[in-house]
Amino acid sequence: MSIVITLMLNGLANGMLIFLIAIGVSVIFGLMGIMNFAHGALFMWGAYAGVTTYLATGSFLLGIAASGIVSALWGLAMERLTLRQVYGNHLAQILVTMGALLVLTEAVKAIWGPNIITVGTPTVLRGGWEVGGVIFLRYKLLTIGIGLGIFAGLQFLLNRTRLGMMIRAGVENPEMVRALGIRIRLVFSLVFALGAAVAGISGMILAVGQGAFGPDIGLSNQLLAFIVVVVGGLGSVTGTLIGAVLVGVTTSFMAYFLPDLAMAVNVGLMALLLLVRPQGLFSN
Amino acid sequence: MPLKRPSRSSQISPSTAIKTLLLGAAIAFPYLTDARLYMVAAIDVFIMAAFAMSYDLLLGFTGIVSFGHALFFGLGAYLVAIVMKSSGASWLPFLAAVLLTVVLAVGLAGLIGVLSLRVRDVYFAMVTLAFGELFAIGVEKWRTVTGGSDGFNFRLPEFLIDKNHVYFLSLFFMLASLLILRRFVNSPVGRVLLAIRENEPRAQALGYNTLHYKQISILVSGTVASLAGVMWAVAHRFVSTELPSLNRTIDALLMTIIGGTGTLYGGIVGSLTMRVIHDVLSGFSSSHIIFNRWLLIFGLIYILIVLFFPAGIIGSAAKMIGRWKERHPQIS
Amino acid sequence: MSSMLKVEDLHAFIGQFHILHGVNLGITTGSIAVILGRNGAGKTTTLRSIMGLVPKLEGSITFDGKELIGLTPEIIARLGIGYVPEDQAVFSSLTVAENLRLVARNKEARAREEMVLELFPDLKVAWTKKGKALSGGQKQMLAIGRALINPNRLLLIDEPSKGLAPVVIEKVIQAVSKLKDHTTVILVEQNYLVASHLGESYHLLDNGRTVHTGTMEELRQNDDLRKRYLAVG
Repeated sequence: MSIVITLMLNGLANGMLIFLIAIGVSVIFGLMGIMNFAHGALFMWGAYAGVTTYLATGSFLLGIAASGIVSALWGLAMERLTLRQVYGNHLAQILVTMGALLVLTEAVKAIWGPNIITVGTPTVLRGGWEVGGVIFLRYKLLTIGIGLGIFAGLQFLLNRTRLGMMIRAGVENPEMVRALGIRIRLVFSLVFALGAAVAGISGMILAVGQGAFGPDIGLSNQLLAFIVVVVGGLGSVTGTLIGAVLVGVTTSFMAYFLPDLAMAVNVGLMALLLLVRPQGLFSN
Repeated sequence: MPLKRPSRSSQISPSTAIKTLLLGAAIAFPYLTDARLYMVAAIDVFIMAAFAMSYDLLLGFTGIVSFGHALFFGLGAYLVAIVMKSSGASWLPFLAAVLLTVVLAVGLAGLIGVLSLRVRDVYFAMVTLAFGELFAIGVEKWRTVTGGSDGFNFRLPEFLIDKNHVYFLSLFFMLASLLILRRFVNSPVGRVLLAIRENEPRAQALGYNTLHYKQISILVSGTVASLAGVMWAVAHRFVSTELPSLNRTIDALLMTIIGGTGTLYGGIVGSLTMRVIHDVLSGFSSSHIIFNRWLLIFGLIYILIVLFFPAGIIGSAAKMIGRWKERHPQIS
Repeated sequence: MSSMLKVEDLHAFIGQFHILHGVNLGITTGSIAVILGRNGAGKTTTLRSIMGLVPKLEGSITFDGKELIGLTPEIIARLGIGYVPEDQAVFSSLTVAENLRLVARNKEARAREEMVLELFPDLKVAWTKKGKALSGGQKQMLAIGRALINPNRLLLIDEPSKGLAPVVIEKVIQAVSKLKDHTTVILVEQNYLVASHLGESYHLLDNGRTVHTGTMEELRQNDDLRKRYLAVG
């Protein structure tokens, strides 16, 4: 029984991380109709920039800050320099974001090399407690905490601030938002940068938790994020959270019992959902 | 006043002349050089051209993006490799493997289409990416059969080992793919696909079941791609996890975009261009490390093309020639 | 009196269709002008063109002497033009309060909330309700109120009576007639009775062209014109 609780806890922590990647994909699609195939690369840049900063300064918090800032800047550059040229052209958007994935991934390989980078776990994240056979790892608890914190922050931003109103209104009817005098392009840029920053931070957390990572960290996690948004429903924050926890817990149990089939089960979950409820669990 | 052009009905058009010349050069090529290195490169160019053309059927003629095209390529390559490894170098199992490849490719393409086409276009890109990656992971993990990321060698019937035979077989395969795909896009089904690419709601309003037509396009494209994989396995007698990887799909994407979408020939031009530039850049890699990351350079070129020259090399060249002819109507 | 908004020989294109073939409007400050015409005459497209929501336009639209063609909708809105579309476009996931506060660009605009609520007391009752929970009449009032939050000098209102019950139409008429004190109004209306109640001048559109212009009194007396273009006697 205690192993089940431990695995649930791990799954929850996984799920929180996946949520942080997926939420950017989901909200950007909801608001701008853009599926960002380079989101995994932004996540990866967060990991590399964050870990590099952490290793250089010894400060985990500075690393987190660097991961968010660097990824946000890349996201902003992507949106301003490329996507802005092809608004409304879905085919070109998909092609351009895939190009950005390629360029950002190759840039990482050019700077840091294609090999695995190892990083020691920061002291704040080390260790844990055992209560009645259930292992509470500090890292997992902190991940859940940060995930919930960012979720709460996003909820506050979306529901309590004027920017949030603009985002929600823009998801519904971007044309009317413009006709009311709101500079939607500015909102687009902000959301893109914010989604990138959150992805970057989650990349840093994951990298430090794994202790070792390479340039394939981006794609595999992007894939999980895509599965989550298909399962949860595009554009829905709650759906994304629940989808992420579902995928996180599934992965955690599979990793324990049948690690080789973890991805197969997740893709299978997505396929099943596309068959029975193609609009996702929580779509309007 | 432009001069009246002489009747040219008895003459051969310039484009036919160029094509005939190129084909002649391709046939003569093995006899002109004994540098085996170029032969291998030429074979790769032919096979990848066919793979890129099958990609163009989706991207350029149907207006949908697949990020899992390498799944079919890897499927064909690994099926032949696995069958040949376990059965020895005889023809019957080889042909059976090719047949099985086609059957499985059609089945997989059908499944992917059913899952992804119903919702929105972008789901096709997402679902193909997911299935492509799942396949690549599966190939890597199923070590007992696939040899994991190291890959494995296998033997082939004697006839398929001669480099000249493989060269002509690949050339033939590329031309056959071109003819079949061209026939397909010019068929009534192909016309409907173009209508879908231009304006799907209108095609629907005209009473076409657009889902059905897209599905056919995916099946044809997947089949050609899987046969390209078979050819690749034959040419190299070696398979590894690099074949079904996303990078292989990106190769097809880059070739199609650089060559020109919606042209089929763009796949050939793109395949040749990428190989030449790749080999040239690799030659520089000792002078600067950045040339090792040639995909970075290709990626940037690709983004610029998508943003500013969406017609690619073939389309842009056709436009330039057209404009030039307009300005100089007396010459042509 | 000089024109606040002037539309001259306006042509609009949507995709491959040529929708407007020469619309002319001259709107004087402080009036309620009505654009009339049959279904498909180009009334809604005219309003959308002024708002910058039609991508391809030819001709000229000037607001206080400034050319609007080529400007984005957000810039046009910030020049002081409010827009109430046919479907109201109330944001369904936002509450009444949020629908109003969303558009308030500064403190001054936020202070106008009081004024809007005085004009439409019904909104105060529904203050915390989501847009999707509102009745048709409430949505209409919210959409008009939203266009008033910023001190706009011109309001474009597209068919406020559409799909509403007669009692509710009565309320909307009252509300719109009170707007005159605050702003200039261009009203698109199919319902001739509503139009003749509210309008001071009329612009008659047919097949994407302005075919007649004059005061509402003139239209009331011209039975022939009404029969020919509006099918009302």
